Amino acid sequence: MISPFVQSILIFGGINAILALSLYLPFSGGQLSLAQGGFMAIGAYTSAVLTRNFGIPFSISLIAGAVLSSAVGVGVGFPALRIKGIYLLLITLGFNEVIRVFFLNFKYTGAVGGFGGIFPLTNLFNLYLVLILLILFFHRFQNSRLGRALRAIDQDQDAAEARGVPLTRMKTFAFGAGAFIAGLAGGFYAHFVMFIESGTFGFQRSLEAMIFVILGGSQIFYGPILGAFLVTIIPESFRFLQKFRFEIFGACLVLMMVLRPRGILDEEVCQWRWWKEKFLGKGLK
Amino acid sequence: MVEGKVFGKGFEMNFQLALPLLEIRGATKAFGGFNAVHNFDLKIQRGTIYAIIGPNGSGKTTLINLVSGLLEPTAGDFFFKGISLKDFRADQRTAIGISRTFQNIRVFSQMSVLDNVMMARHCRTSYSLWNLLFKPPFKPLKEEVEIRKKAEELLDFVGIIHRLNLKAANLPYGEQRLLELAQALATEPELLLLDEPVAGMNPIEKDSVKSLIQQISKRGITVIFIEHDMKVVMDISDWITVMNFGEKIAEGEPGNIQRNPVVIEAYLGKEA
Repeated sequence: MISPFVQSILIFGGINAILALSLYLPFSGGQLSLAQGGFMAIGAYTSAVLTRNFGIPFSISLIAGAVLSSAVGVGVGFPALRIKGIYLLLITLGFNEVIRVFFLNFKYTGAVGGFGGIFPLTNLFNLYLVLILLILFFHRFQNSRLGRALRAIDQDQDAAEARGVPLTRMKTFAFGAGAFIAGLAGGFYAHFVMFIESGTFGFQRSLEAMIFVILGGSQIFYGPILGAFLVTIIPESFRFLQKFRFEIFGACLVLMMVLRPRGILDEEVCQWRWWKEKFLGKGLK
Repeated sequence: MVEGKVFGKGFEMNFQLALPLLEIRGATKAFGGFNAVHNFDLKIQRGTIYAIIGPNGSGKTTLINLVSGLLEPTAGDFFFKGISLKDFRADQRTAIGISRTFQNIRVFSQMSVLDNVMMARHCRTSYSLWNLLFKPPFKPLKEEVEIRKKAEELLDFVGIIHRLNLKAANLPYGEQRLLELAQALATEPELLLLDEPVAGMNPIEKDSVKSLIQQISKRGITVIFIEHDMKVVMDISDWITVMNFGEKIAEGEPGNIQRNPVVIEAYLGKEA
């Protein structure tokens, strides 16, 4: 029905979209994390070990990997949460390297040789089921008391605290939940490519997640999803240019940041009113 | 006022103790070697409108920041309803009933007016992530409906209900102040700290804020406010404290303060 090529793009797009959402959640509370690749690694290795070595069903392994990733995220993130902006970025970057080097040297999961022989359990159905559930969750979350509190923290941390938002608790929650979602992405990734090594989850993976969010727009959760799919699809659709296709991709990135510096989607674009005014003129409201 | 009953053998007795709503004892805040607030004492009784005045840089805002928990005091104790505020973070102080506005307006400019007020209900609602995850579809949570109702009530009270869906950044200056007031009220405070509530407003807006403060006070909320506009201060306050160089230089009823030579000197300088 779908060619393997299209299928692999759709699956990578879905995994990237989940990874993008994992970064969006803490970012909506003002915390930019460069450790999402590391959290992905924890989810990937944990779920792969559980399905291959212990024969545990995929769904349970997936959740176990995400829970472990989230636990590590909360444990390590907790002291880092007093720090904001560029400093938090550096700390999370360092943390990502710690995880990467751990898996590079951890004998049980193959160390430098990588971990292979993972069962191909990821398919379009289970991946997109999880993605849709996540979208439903974010849809509920953004207009809940928790979503509003995170947005307030993002804009003015002290004012949010003066309005009764417990900063540490909300930030830890956002960081931990982000790590959970990244763990899910890792689990799906491992069971699709069937071979994982620590290098795949390095700094570059985290940077990619950041590109998804910033390109797609960080104000509303549809943005990161769109960003993830674009970044997956654009380089592939210029495949006829061979090695130059990343030039095109880079140019697209620059162009989009010039045209829409705050990301492709923002709250305005996601309302019907904006489209009506755009195409039908302001008089028709 | 603390009311209670004492029971004994064959008798019972009602008693009333006049416990101040807020008591500040020896508050000191030093920035480097400079004492912004120095050894400051204050007792606020329930139900009053209390004004703190003084020249710029006399430590009024620092005092409010100390009470609301934005700053840590260098020394001194703060008691709210007899409870020491020492171990309370700013958000916990809001939760027990101390709310404030800021001198330089700090509404969340990228959020809608409604969201701004709704977010301030955070500490008065308690539904968790699980309620959110397992809520049936197409039906808002009961608590969320209540939050919205309350927020609309308050926006109506301060008179900007017609701006509901506007981004806070797009509100005119005076209405941003009103929005912040609605936010502060949304946390259901017993003590409301207002930092220059009418700064930068025109006379008509000033009058409406004046009457708002009086209505808030009638609702049983104790108000402390900092203000430079003497007309507003004299019109609505029950009691005035005058600060200069971080210390209390005078206090009393509006009429007495107006004639106090120390106060006149602090504001206008010494007569030659």
